Amino acid sequence: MSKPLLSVSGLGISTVQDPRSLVNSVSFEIMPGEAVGVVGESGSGKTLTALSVLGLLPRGVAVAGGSIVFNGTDLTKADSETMRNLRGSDISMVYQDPMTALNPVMKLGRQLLEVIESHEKLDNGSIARVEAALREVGIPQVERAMESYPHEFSGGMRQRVMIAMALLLSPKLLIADEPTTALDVTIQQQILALVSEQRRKRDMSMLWITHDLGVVANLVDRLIVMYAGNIVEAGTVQEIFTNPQHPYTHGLLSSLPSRTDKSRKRLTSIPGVPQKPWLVGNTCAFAPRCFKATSECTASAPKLVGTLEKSVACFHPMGDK
Amino acid sequence: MSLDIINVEKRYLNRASGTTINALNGVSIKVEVGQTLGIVGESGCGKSTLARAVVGLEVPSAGSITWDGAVIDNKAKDRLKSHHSQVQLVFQDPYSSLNPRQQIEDSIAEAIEVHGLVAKDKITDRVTELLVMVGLDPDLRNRYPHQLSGGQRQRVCIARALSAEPKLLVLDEPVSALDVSVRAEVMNLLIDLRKNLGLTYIFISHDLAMIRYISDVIAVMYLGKIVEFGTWEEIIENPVHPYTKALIAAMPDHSIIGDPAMLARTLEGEVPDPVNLPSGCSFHSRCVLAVPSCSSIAPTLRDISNGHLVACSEV
Repeated sequence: MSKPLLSVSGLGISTVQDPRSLVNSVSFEIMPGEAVGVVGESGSGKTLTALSVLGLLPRGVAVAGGSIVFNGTDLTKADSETMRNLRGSDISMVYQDPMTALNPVMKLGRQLLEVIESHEKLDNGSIARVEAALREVGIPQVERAMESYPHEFSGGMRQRVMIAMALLLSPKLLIADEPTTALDVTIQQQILALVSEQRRKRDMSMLWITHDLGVVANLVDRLIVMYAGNIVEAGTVQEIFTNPQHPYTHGLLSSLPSRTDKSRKRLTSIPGVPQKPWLVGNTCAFAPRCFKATSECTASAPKLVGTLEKSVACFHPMGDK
Repeated sequence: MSLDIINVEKRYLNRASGTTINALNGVSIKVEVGQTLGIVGESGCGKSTLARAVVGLEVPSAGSITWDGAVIDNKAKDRLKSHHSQVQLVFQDPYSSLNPRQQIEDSIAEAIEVHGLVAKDKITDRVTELLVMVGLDPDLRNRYPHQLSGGQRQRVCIARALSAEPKLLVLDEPVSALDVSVRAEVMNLLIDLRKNLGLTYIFISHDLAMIRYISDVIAVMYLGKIVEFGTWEEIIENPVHPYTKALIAAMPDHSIIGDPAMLARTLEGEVPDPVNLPSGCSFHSRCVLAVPSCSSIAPTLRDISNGHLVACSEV
């Protein structure tokens, strides 16, 4: 078996002053060409985990432990120049809101050229390269688009530009943070199809962050479920969706209205609200909301155990169907 | 008793550019008491404009909306007040629709006072009753919105809407802003309230799964028009309009796993600009069934079987 492209191990993220743990001992791997989804609600730590890979954690938040090994280099120990060289070329990112991620007062062509310029020398072929990248993501009238500003485009088109920008230097890993959440469903579908096609064509690895289980069901190979700063379950899409082991994953899946159930039976809800990660302590974070919780769950924190295909952090998993 | 929306049009004039935005282009629909109408469509289809017109926050440019025979327009202030007590709106975002400097109790009590539905000395009891009704601990009454979770805040908004003792509740994306794990609880609450209080709902969402779950009848909107209408089973199981079919196909579905073909079923292009409406059928530029006549003749809703209406000449 080949070596993982990205290997995150024991990653902790916390605030710098008055340390509050935001992400707690997260470990996962991404193989070359593999697409991994991270599912979680707001505050689960999914975005921070992704940003830490790029060394782009917000001010006042820092990696507190563990390692992020990309292609043999530990990114937690890398200097800012190494990180700058990686960003945009080996690892690139697509953000949720293309309006705030693009520079509103710079023409799109210039913004894309800047990506090339920051890693290599511009030459006569650079413009053609940018135009080809825009054409590839389905931007019509590319010459005109190069001379346009972001506000002249719809949300879907802006997101296509973001994807063109992210793919420009053929990254090995694409990180996507809810890139379709702000889009309408039919446009979302177009973007998902585009990304899926490009990934297969380039044999690129992908880390896809979302709160929407439906979005990743047909997009990624493996899935990581995060809750209050911890990975509670990880495994293949097939395993997670058809045989969820953690009561949180199980609850989340059964709280979604079914597309086929004619009786429209009452939705199963998870009582309570998500816990703040720094208030969890050495217990299972989900225990206060869990119908299977016992005293064991509040005595210590369960560890994520299992295989790449299926692992769960729970003392009382759901059991096989 | 029913809500009758007849040929409603709404145009907004953009004074800076002198252009007209056509938000609603002739919407007719009847909602019977006790029924839940689901309205589904993408941004810009006019679903929120319609919601605001139903509660009187927008005045239609043409057409009429009547509730129990009384016209809703903001010219008749007294009538509007009595209408407002019967028709209430719950907004999408429970963060911006509550006054951040007002305690929960005051937010709800204000609505009770405006409508003068309860004697002054009974308002506190009524607030307690409403908080219990939406599943909140009455001890939360002195909290400010920022001290509550998203789900709790949306319950407060629902309690505030119910304080006017409405018969019709317009719910504009009521669970879209909430975390996935608390959506189900709010949906269950809405279903319980509908049963216990005999409410009529207009439930607006871009999420077809939620629409399917709660609606008796569903209207699909595109560019300010209803393109298909029918019972929830008809619309979901037997969609006829090519736009409805595309919308259902594009819904993220967690029950189909690991099938890349799911991503192939896409609708080309984007929703046209409501300033320059396409001629003929407004969907013809994206439609797989379009024939030349679709770009000149606008189809009207016709009944294809037992009240299943569709606006398409090619099905």
